[in-house]
Order: sequence, then structure tokens, then C-alpha cells
Amino acid sequence: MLILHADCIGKEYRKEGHKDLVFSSFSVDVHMGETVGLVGPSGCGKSTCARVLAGLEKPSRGRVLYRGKDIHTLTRAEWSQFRREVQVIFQDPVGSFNPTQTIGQSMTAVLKHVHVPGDEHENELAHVFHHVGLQMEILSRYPDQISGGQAQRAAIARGMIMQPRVMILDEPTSALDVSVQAQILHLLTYVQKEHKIAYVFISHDIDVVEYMSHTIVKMQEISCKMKK
Amino acid sequence: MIPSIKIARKYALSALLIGIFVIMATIPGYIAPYGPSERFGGYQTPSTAHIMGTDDMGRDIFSLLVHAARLSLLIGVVSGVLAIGIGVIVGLLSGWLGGIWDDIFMGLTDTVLILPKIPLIIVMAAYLEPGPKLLIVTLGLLSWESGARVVRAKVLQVRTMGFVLSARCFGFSSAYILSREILPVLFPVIVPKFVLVTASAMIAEASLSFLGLSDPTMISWGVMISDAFTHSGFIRHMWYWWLPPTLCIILGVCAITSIAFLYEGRTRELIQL
Amino acid sequence: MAGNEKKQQDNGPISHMLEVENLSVTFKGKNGDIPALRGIDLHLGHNECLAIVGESGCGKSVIAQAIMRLLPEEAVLSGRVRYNTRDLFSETNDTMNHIRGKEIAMVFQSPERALNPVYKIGRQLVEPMVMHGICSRSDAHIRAKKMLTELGFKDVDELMHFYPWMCSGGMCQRILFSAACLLQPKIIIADEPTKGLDADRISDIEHMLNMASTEYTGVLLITHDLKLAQRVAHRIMIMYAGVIVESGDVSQVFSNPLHPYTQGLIRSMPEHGFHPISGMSPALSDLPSGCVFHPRCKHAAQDCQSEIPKWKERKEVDGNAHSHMVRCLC
Repeated sequence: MLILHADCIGKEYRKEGHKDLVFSSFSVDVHMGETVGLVGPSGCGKSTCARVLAGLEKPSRGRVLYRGKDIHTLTRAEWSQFRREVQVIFQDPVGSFNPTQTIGQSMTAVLKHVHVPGDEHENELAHVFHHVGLQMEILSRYPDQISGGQAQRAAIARGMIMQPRVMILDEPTSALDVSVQAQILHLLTYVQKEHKIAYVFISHDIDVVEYMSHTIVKMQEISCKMKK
Repeated sequence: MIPSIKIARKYALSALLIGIFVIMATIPGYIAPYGPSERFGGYQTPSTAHIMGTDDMGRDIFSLLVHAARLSLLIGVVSGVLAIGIGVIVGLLSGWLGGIWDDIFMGLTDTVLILPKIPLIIVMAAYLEPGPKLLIVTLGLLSWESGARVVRAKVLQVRTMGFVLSARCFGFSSAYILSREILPVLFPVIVPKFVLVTASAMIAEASLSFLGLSDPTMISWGVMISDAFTHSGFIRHMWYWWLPPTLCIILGVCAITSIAFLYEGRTRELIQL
Repeated sequence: MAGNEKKQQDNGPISHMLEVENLSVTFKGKNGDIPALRGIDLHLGHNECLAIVGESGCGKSVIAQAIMRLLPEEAVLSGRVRYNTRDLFSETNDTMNHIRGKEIAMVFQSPERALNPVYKIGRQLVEPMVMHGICSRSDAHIRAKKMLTELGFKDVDELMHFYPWMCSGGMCQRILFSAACLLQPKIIIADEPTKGLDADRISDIEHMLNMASTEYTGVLLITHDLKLAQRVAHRIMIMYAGVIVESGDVSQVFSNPLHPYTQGLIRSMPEHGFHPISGMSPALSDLPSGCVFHPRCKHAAQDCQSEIPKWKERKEVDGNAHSHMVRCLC
């Protein structure tokens, strides 16, 4: 089942008067429980594309459809459903946590946001942490006190709290070491199998994308084509 | 634990000075031997009854010094709070909303930046009734621009960082993100700015009072120096009249600024943005 | 001199320019001591590229900084670093300043920060040559341009007038590298030269490293990138939690890895199917007893928990002169 669909999207920025094209007429279909890999050299607009797909930025042209509806014309309720069901994991795992809060505080903020009652926080956190293979003692640490691999697991755990249908993974392993990368890739495959989450896997590393993806889309500078 | 003790020792003097000033400001009646308007013989030299002598109107200088702390500190701190409050709000909105709002807010900031502050206050004091309130409001309204600029720059930097993007992905509202995610990260730049604005407001108050442009009936260190100057304290070599308030201003400003640097230095290590 | 000759005989035809013996570095911290390096032995010959491969936090960059004596004061060093006939740990600071750059050059990670943003590229390349008295200013200009051309830059004249912030990370890294090569050092230490670069930029760096080790000097490459090490280096050392666990020729180590950690690393690579090593690297402040790898090792026995493994040599059948060493009880 088609869940997220980008229809000829393009993005350009206004820069000192002239328009700067990041990417144009890019289309992608994301099906329930499947992984779409997005590869391309850096500077071809992969990360911008991730932000557009996640609804963090408006495309300059084209539309992003979630469950058949343009995400920028959604009603309030539909938008909050979209926000809950589409999550993003970023490249810098440590940077995706607020440096002034402990991991526990960051987690609890999300739990409160989805209206989990306070007495269930502990259970819920134990559940997701067990799922991603983290110790509970991490909760009392600050982001700079844990390793990149642990932070990326914690970021995945935090995304899981929202029970997403789609996860957009923007270079989730490029900042990690080889052996940790292998661990995270396995974790992601496991999570996908358990929860039938669709992934958009963005990376510059063709090997990693080939390993993870059901279909692959190659992005090149400015023009982007469909392959496979 | 060892470094924290070291830091404490290094800044103990500043903390002690600030502590003394705050006590002087809150309970002057218990420290000062006399009230601020009690009168004795004028121009007395220091003695056991009046350890810093008396001024032209026969008021005990030491008691005046203690009572003046309240207004001097109040003007500094309140205008500091006002300035940093406006600065943070303008900076946050400017950096977060971007686009046309950024242009508007930054235009406003630049306008305030080029206003010559002291001359403007002089002109205002000439037309409006001079007093502590006017000083606080004008100093506050005229010194928020540097805070706004720093905050905006930091917001622009932080808003593209992973944790802010994550918060947006989780569907947190802008107000939540600004207040709970971004504001705490900004503290390392806000606190020193606040302290510097406070210190410069104290100096501005002293300068204006010295120029005779504030309410002559109010009791502040600046007014004391001004009185000593205009009522022949200098000619009579009454150093015990003008020197103590001068020292109070200098020490107060130094102590406050050094605390700011302490805070800045410590948080830099914690949060490297 | 006699000792030197003897050394050459011992180690075959290659004389060792740089020799590190039993190097240990401990950082005195507020929460106890952190042993960053323990018992590091390595040697580097002429026209040789030695790669030290390890994951983040294993202390590999500390080796470079210890050799260059760039460590902060709270670091306690023991062991010996010998460069030709000199003992680097007993040299004066002035001599070290002369050795740094002229004799042993270092290329740091994050090149954008290593170049001064307010000076033009040309000046930053020429000035060190003039300062170290290698050649005249006009000569230095010619050499700098020649070097940049060799490294694959076009429009070299224009580039000399650029500022570092006008160049991409990959360009900065190559410029930094040429600045190091221009001083004609005997040894280049490259600390994570490919960190944060794209695949095609990495191949530029690779080309440079190859060129440096064949034409100029010995190269000590410190990296987390196994593939880069495989392509560029002659010998490789695998580092884990402050200890070198395996050392040998690149072909030997990759075709027949002896240490379980090396085996795990190779199996984690894309072409071997991303099989992860279970568990996490220990923090240097909280190291396991015995063999540092035993909590994650599949073959761990009782002895591994108590006994620190010594170097063992494996003779390879192909009659290769270089030794393949491993620190494992197996």
C-alpha cells in the first residue's frame, strides 16, 4: 500500500536575489513496510529532500502526499496524525538531543507530548529501550556523555514512542564506526520487521543503501532520475 | 569537586562584594547608623560618630552610602532585566520566524543601535520629569539591541540543529520549542549579556546623576558624587565624601562582570555550539 | 652509529625512521586516571605507509599527538619515541619546533580549522617554506604551484589567491596536505584525513597518500576507515581500547585476520554483509581486566579475563619477510 508519495517535487532557495535550485522534479513512492533507498553525492539535495518529505519544509513545486493527501493542505487533526506517523532520524545522533537536557528528560518530553500518563513513563521507556538494546542508566546521562551508537539507538527509541508508520533516515550511520554501523543497520531491519514501518533510507554510501533497500532512487546534482 | 572549589575561591571576592551590596540594598536601616535624611552639622571630618564625616547638608555620609545602594542596584538590575527581556523576545522571534519578520525586527534593532543613548536621555530628562523610573525605562528601552542580535544569531544557528528539527518532527508547538528547547541553550549568551547591560546601566545612572540630569532628591552613588562635586567636596579635599561612592560603583561593576565571565567560561565547556 | 647499523641488520633491508617503544599515555582526570594508550610499539620505514585503524574513542589520535609532543600537560607519558637517532621525549621544545613540520609533518582532521581563514592559500603554502629556510620566496611560489598541479588542481594561479573559506572541505584537506609535503618532511602523520568527506573526495586523499608514501616519505595514517587503509597502507595495525591487538601486512591481516576483533571489524564491512560485533567498545576510564576485548569475544576463555595477552607471531607460509603479530591468547 502506498503511504508516502512525492510527486515531482522541487526545492529552490532565494539567495541574494537569484534563485538557487537544490533539486527538481523528484518523485518517489514509499510503500507500507518497505524501504526506499536514496543515494547521491553530497550537495545533490538529499538532506533537503528528507526535510521536504518530512514536512519540515515546503517544496517550491510539486506535492508530497501522505495517505493520498497533500501534506500542506491537511486539517489540524490530519496534520498531527502525520506528525506522529512520520518520524525522522538525523545524521548526527548526539546533536538530535538537546545538550541541556538529559536523555531521560528528552524522552519524557515526547511521552508527555503524546499524553502518556506519568506513572506509565517508566514502563514505556523500559519497553522501547529494551527494544533498541539500551540500558536504562543512559536516561540520566547528557547527550555528550554517551557514544554515537548509543545516541542513535536512543534517537530510534524516541521515534518509536510515536509509533510511526514511516521513518525518514537521513544518513543514520554516516557518523558511526563500521561495527556500530552494522549494529544500527541490524536494529533498523529488526524494528521494521516487528512494526512494519516504511523507511526512506538516505545515504551517500551505495553499499549501505543496497543492503537496506527494496527499491533505490539515485539522486544526481539538479536532475534526479528513477532507477531500478 | 576540586575545580569547583577552585572556581569558588577565585570568585569569592566578587560574590562577597555582591552579597554586601545586596544586604546594603535590602536592609539599609540595620546597617546605617542614621537615617538618610537625619541632619547634623555640615562638612564634618570623619570621627567616631560619623566615620565618613557629613556632607554639606549635614547628612552622615556612611549612612547615605548604605542607603544609596538600593537605588543604584535597582536601576542597574531592573533596566538590565527589561533590556534583556526585550532583547530575547525580539531575537527569538526574529531568528525563528525569519523572512519579513526578521527584516522588520533587525531594522528596528539597527535603529536602536545607532541612537546615541546618553544624549537622548539628556534630552528626555530635560523635557520629562527626571527620576528613577524614567532612567530605568529609557536605559532598558535603549540597551536591548545587542542582546537581540546575539540571541538571533544563536537561534539561526540552533534552529537547523538536529534536536530542534527532531522536536518539530514530534509535532511540538513553536512556543514549546522556543521556550523549552532553544531558550535553555541560549542561557550561556543571555546571562553575560544581562550582566553587562546591568553594569553599564549602573554606570549610565552615575554619569547622568553626575551631570545633574537626574532627580537631585533621590539617593544614589551617582548623586552623591555629583553633590560632592557641586557642593565643594572637592575644593575642601573631602575625599571621604566622593571616594566611597566612586569605589562602590567601580567595585560593584567589576564584581558583577566577573561573575558573568565565570558563568560564560563554565557553560562554554558544557555546550559547544 | 654502530647501534643504528645493528638495528638495520636486525630488521632486514628497511631501516626504521620512526620507532615507538612501549608508549603509554595516561590522562590525569578529576574522576581518576584515564589510560588512553598502553604499551604501543610501532615502527615506520622509508617510503612506507603504516595505517593505525581503530574506532572512535580507542585513542588512536593520541599516538600522533604523543609522537609530536602535542599532548596537554595532564597527560603522563612513558616509553620511548625515537626519530632516526634522536629520542623525541628528551628533546628541547626548540628542537621539537624545528622537527615539527620540517622533519615530521602532521595533517589534522577538520582541515577548515587547520587553515587560517584570514590568509590566502598561496601565502599559507609559501610562508612555512620560507620560514624553515627551504628556499627563496619566488622559488617557493613555483614549488607550491607545481605541488597543487600534481594534486589534481586546475587553475592553480587562481587558487593561490583564494581564502580557505572559499574552498570545500576536500579542497582544504588537499591544500593542507600539500602544505605538509612542500616542507619535504621525512614523515607525514595523517590523522583521520578522510573524516566527513565524500567517496570521490576520499579517492583524492587516497591518491595523495599513495604519492606521499612512494615519492616523499613515510606515512603514518590514522583512520577509522578500513577500506582506505586496505587500499593505501602497506602495513596495518588494529587498535582497540588503547591497545594494538593485531599488526601485519595489509594483505595478511585482511585475508587471514587473527584477532577476534579484527575478524569482527572485517565482518562488519559492507562487502562482508554487515555482521555486527555484539556489545559496545568500553570507555577508556572503565576497561575490562585481562584482554580488553574479552567481554565481546565469542572465543573468550577463563584465562582471557585475568591474563593480559602478549604479542604472538604467526609465520606466514608465503615466506614473507614481515611478521604478522597478534595479541590474543587463542
